[in-house]
Amino acid sequence: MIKILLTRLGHIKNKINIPGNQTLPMDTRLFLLFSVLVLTIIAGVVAILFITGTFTAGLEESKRLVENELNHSSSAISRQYGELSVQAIDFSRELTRSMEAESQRTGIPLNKLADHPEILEEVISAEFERALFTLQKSKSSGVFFILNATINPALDKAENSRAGLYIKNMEPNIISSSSPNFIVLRGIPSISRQNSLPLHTQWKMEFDVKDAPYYHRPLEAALANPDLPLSRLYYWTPVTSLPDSSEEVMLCSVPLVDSKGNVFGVCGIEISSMLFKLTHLPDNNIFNRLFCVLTPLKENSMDFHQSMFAGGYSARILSRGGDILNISDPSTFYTYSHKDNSFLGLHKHVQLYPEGSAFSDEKWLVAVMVPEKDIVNSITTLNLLLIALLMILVIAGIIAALVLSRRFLKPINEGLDIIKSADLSSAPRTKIAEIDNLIDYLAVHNQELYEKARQENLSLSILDEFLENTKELSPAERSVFDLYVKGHTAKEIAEILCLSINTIKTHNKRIYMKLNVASRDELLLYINMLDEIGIKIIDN
Amino acid sequence: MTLEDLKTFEELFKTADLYYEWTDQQTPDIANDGKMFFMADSLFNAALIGCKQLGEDLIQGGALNLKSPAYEKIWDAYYKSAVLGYTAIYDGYATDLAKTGDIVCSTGSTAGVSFFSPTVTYADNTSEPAELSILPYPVFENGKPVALQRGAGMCVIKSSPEKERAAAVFLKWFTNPENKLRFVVSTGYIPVTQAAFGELMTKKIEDIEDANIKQLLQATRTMQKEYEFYTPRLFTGIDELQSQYEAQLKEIAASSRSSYLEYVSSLDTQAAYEAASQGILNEFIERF
Repeated sequence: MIKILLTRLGHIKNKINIPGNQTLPMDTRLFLLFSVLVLTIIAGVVAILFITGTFTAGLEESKRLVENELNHSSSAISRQYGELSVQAIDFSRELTRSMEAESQRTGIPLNKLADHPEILEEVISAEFERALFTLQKSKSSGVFFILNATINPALDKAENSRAGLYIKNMEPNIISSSSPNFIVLRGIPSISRQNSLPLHTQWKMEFDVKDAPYYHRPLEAALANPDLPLSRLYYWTPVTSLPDSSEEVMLCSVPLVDSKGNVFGVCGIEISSMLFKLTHLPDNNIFNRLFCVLTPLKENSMDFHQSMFAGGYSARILSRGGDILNISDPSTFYTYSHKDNSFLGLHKHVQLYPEGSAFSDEKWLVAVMVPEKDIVNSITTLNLLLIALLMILVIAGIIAALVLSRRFLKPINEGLDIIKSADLSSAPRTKIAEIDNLIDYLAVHNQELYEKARQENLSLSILDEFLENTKELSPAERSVFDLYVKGHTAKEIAEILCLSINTIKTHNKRIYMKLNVASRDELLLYINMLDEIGIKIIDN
Repeated sequence: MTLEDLKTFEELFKTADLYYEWTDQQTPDIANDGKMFFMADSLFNAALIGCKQLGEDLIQGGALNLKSPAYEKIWDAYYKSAVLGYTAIYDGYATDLAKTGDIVCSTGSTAGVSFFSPTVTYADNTSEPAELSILPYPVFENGKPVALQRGAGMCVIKSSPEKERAAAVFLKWFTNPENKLRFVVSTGYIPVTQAAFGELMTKKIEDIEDANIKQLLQATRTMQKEYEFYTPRLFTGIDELQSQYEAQLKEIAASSRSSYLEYVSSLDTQAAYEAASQGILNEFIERF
């Protein structure tokens, strides 16, 4: 097809370039006209696409997608973290109420538990059901409480060892499981055995709180702000792993404060990195590596090592490096970059704490991002597709111009051939009204022209005879005749030739007879007719 | 005693007896406070293999065959050991009890290897490092070396042709010997192809850093050469039968253990055991 088109275009070029061929054939002119129209329309389309931003629509579409995902993720994360914060606070209140009641029974104040390690197993065991119930209803991946006491104060590690309980739900994403997979990560083994729960592979009896912000920060906040309610004292840790544990988690820790204001431990709820991932996995078919991040904001940068991820594998690869990502100003997207990786995306602040919280200066972001090259590739692909479509349109338009111009002119050329033929009255119809009318018209008009020509031929033969007859005139008659030709009257001729009028009349008779005319008027008619056709009878 | 003494169940329970005595003697003031030595992770699997080793089948015609001489031997081994306090009666995995030093020996699935802790933590929160030794599965005296090969396997759920094909491609990749060995090293599950089990694994064992996995594969390699792997026929209801068997056996053993502890305060151990176990096997058999 293309070959044929190129051949045709070559012919057209030759026609245009023929030296001395000043006139272009009509089909070439029509083809060029159509081509100009096609190219003008395509140029118009391209201009409209530019004006309406279609060539950058991929970027806008990507932005819309990321915005939607961000809105969805940030509201889901806010809701989840909000609900878990409330449940952690409730857990703290319930634990405190229950343990205070037990404390009254035993007579050992809760802030003096450290002095009575022998009752810790009983105290913790009594709260097992409550902890398990909190875990079951909270849609979290774990629940814990840590008391400011250890069961063996004599040990070297006792300074940083705290008794408590930590139960994990190993399959938190399975709603209403008939056989929930609960397991004890920290706690006294006899308690887990009494309750038929297995010990985690990374189980330890107590919490190592040496480097444990989830223990110290809410505890210190409660001690420093005795008037603040629990709702202003809970603390969300950045992503962390417990000592001797491999799973990355975020913990919401709430201080345990008895009715007298004594701070005797912390309790809280866990979101594991797996639960976060399963809960907030972005749902889109466009960018496979789109991912959602919940991250603490520090001086316009985010530490992926302290962040939760849901989504593409690139995020996990990056997070292993523990790299800080710098956030740069937005054009369409924010750019999140460090030396090896660059991501495009959008982010929003999320409020993990209410107004007046001891931790309200801790800023958190939810970001949705994609590796930069994914977005660039996507837009390039889209635009290449668009350009390819436009090219196809141009080629199709030129082919259509070529075909249409030839088709349009074919009957006209045939009509012209018909018109050139001798017998128009019996010519075939072209089915083009104008040409058929022209043929009809020419058929009639040609007849009239023929008749006229025939008549004219007849007149010419009489005039020829008249001219021939003038040669028969005698010199005297010729002198009279010439004066008639010059427009003189008989009387004027008599005077000019100094002859009598009768002599003139005699000459007239002989002239009329020789020239075969009946009167002077007829003689003058012949003379006029000859004059009209440009034949001079006399020399000036 | 050496690890060689754990090759047969008879020796194993004898060791358990000695361990109980030795631990009992650590606290001369308290009588009968010896410690447990052993736990079998699945009593049902232990009975299946035991019967097979002794030339019988535990399951016949879809029901338990508990009246064979072979089963009686298995019953005696477990039940007596449990009632006397040598073996754990525990509704969980042996690794839990190993973490707290409540047992020191167990039989179970190869995949259990990753659940053993390198530290034993005692009730007073003191702890010490623990080293794991992995040995081929014990065999009853005069029995055939038989071990159990049992697992859920993998199946492809009926789906679109593309997904079914993708699943097949995945399984082909997954069972490729190189990939299989990576999986084995990470999980403790044993290979499913001869190629992965053979020369390749022998070569790779030396490169494995995890000492437990290395020992596990060495023991598995020995068993592959010397043992017969028994894959019991699956049938509808086998899971329920297994649950019932284990629950009933633990319940009856726990009940006898309580009786024994009562008797032993006034009788010697043998007399106390005989009193606690009188007619119990028949009672147990009648439950099925």
